[in-house]
Amino acid sequence: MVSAELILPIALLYVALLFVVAFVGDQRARAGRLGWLQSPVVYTLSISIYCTSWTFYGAVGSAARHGLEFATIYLGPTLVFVGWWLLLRKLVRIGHVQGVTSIADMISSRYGKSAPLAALVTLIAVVGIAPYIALQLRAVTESYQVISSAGPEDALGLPSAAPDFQAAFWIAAGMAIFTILFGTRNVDAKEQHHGVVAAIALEAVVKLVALLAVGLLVVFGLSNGIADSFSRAAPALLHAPDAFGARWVTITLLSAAAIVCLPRQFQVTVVENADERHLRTASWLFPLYLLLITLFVLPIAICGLSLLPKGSNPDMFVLTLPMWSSQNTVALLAFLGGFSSATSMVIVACIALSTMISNHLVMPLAMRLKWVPHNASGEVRRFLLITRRIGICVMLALGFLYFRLSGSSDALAAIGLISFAGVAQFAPSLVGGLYWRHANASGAIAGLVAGAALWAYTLFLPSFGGGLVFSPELLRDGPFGLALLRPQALFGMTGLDPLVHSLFWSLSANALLFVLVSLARQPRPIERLQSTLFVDVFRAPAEAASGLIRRTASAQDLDALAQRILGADEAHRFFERAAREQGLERGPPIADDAFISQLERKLAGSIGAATARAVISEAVTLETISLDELMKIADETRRMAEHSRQLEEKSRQLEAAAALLRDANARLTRLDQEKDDFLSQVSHEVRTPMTSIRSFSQILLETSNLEAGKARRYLGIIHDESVRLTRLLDSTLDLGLLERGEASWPSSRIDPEQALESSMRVCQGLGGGRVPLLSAARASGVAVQANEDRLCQVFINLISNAIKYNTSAEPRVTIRSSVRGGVYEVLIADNGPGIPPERRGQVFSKFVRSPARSRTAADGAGLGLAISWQIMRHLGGSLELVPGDGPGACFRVTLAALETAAAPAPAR
Amino acid sequence: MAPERPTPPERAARARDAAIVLPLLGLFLLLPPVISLFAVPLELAGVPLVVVYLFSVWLGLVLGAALLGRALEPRPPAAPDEPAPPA
Repeated sequence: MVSAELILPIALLYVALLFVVAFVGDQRARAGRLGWLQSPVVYTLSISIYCTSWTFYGAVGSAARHGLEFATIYLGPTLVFVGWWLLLRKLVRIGHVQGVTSIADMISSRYGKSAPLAALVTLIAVVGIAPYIALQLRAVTESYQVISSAGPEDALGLPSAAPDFQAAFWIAAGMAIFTILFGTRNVDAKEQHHGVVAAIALEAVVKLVALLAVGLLVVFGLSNGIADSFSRAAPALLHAPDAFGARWVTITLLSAAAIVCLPRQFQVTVVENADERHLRTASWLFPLYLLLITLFVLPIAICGLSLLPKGSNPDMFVLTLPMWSSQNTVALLAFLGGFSSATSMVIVACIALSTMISNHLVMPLAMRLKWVPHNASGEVRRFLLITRRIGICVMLALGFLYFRLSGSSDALAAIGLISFAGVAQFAPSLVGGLYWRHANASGAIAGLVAGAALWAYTLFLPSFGGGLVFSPELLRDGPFGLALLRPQALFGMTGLDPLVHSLFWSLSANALLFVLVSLARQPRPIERLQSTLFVDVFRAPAEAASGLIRRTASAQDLDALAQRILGADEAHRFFERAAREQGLERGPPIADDAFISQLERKLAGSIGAATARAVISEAVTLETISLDELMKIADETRRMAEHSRQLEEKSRQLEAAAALLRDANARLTRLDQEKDDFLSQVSHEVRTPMTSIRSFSQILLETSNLEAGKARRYLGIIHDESVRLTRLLDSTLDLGLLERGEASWPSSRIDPEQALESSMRVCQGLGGGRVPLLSAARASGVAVQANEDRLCQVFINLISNAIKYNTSAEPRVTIRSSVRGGVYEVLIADNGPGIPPERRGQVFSKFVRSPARSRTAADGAGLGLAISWQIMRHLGGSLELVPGDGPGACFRVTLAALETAAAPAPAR
Repeated sequence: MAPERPTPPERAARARDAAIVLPLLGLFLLLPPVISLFAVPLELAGVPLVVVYLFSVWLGLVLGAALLGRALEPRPPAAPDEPAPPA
């Protein structure tokens, strides 16, 4: 056993060390040499105040009673930190942007800086955290009793050992002094408590090392390795049938809510955060810390159960196992570890809660009742410091009171879970407010009131075991004997674990009312503004908000106000800086909207957003919130979506337009090319006859004694060439007219078969009559609307081409005609070489000839098919090159057939 | 053929998605019914299977968060003289 005389000096020495660390931390921060104080590791270690003496002593106790269930307390926070990108990142960003001082400030800011809401959250937190502080006091008191006792009973931490309330009182007083000394030296919560953070980081290391030391002692000193320590376990411990039931799920989710909603966790995670990037490190380092600190919990619990006498207090195994094995150094380290985990929690929780009490409960009252002298400079600052110190004392007193009243029957973990359930009531309003735009203050207040009331009724008040407010009879039978209202079986819901039961009712009512009341009520403009700033914190810059509130105030009033709250010096510095930023040589600055918003944010850092808004409103003579502007920002998201949709639409249109332009350009280029080709072709075609006309006429002119026969022949050539020239020019003109659509001929009802017959007769003589024209199938009694001469021109052109270009040994031309589905169709096919595939696309273009074609042919300008094609188009029909039966070319002419009287009547 | 190396913005977008999925995956693995599957009287090197499973998932989440934290680090725009990654 360690003697009591030794324990006290060691504990005091350890506290002195913490003082030194906190003092050095504060000095360094003041000198601006933050260095390691602002490292992500220190940030993570400060978050590990989550591991209080509940973890240090209570986890083993919980494991000894319920097996693996202790782990759920750490799995929830692990999931929240691993998922930091979803929730914590947004919380921390808002904390930075809005200069949030506490969770009450955060919730009230979100809902239009509502002062009643801030007060409500503070009240719930104060009541909810009292059991938690009581837990720490009890753990430290018991551990002190155990380690300093001489008797065997105390040493084993037997439940029979009555708690030493006198020791507990002095422990509470000592904690209050330490917290006051380091937690309330400055008022601006944004200035952060670097000294305290340094001290609790050290404590985080001490408690981890201590618990690991005990774990190693148990696993390798008292048993023979991990496997041996697990072999002692009673089978029921790790294989309880309902280990992973409703309680497992509930506590996992509850602890996830608590890591965000506990005021002290909010303080270290959000308020004390110096750099958003530290969160990235904490996202894995904090879960790792939790993993390490719980690593040996099961072996310690199992060894405690099997080695220590029956009836030993499992909550004290961490201390009693080293003592039992006479490892006094390890026992002392364990005591210091437990002491560390309790003090760090109490210090930070009291700082966070005292800030909330002074900002949200006392200040609004003081302002209304005019407790603070109005003219004295810095009076508010002094007042705040005093209220915070009182607040710290009140919190410890409440904790002590809870400890005194609740007795000592419950396990540590059971007490802690009551607190968790209390602060979990913040979760719907806090998380809902970050993502749901329409959540408003009425909804939040309704939800919180209902949730907190049900929590108090079903869990908090029954935790006194019928000793306070509720009598044992009321707990058993319900108020006035109404069984339906029994606190632990509300509305007849029996058979549930009390914690699960309480959370089910309180959180269901909380969330339901939060949503329904929010939906039922229109938010006020300031609520809308704040909602936008919170929900869209990653989109809308905070500066955008200052332009939305238009306020007018006199600079003198604002100056007086700032001096009251900040003190003369700081107010002076603030005004000087603002004036310089406005480009003025000397103060006072112009009290424009931006300056008033800036001052409000500065004040909010001291007294919270709700109170800051209230005091600013005193000086402000006129305030309007521009709803139009607000709607614009509020619709930022929709606007962005709309904008990008429009952009996409536009780019689609542009692409389509570009495609059209590309197409048109290609067509123009092609047309241009065709025109150029056409001109050069025409020139070329004209040039050949012209050359012969010129040279023969020259001979006739220059040769005087030309032989008459010869002269006659030459004149014949000149005549022929002129005729050819005329025909070429006629064709060109004809084509030009057709292409421009200016050609017009009378059209009448004719029999196309007659035109075909006469065309065949005309062509019969071509090619020396050696090419037979075969008529395969022929239509009869057809009538079409056309010009007979023009139709003949097309047929003659096609048939003569078929004859002229047929180089086959046994040339023949096959002509078919038919009427199909109201369309008259003529097929003219030859058995010649056909048209090579690469030229098929151009056969109807101008000046395209078959390579086999002779140049001397009469109308060999290569315009024939082009003209025919244009004619058919004009007649409303078509001319196509189609795949024939044989190798030769096959042209198809189609025209709409008219109804004829001669046509056979359709079958009836 | 090896898949093309994703460009940094693509990788960051994937990391963001993964950062949202990771806690949900953890929740899935740590809540019943999945965890109940491991609550059987089996032992791994003397340690009950469910204990090994719980701490393995936990460690996996820590490692996943550490890797994602690095991937989510906002990086400065690549310097122009930086050698292009091999395609």
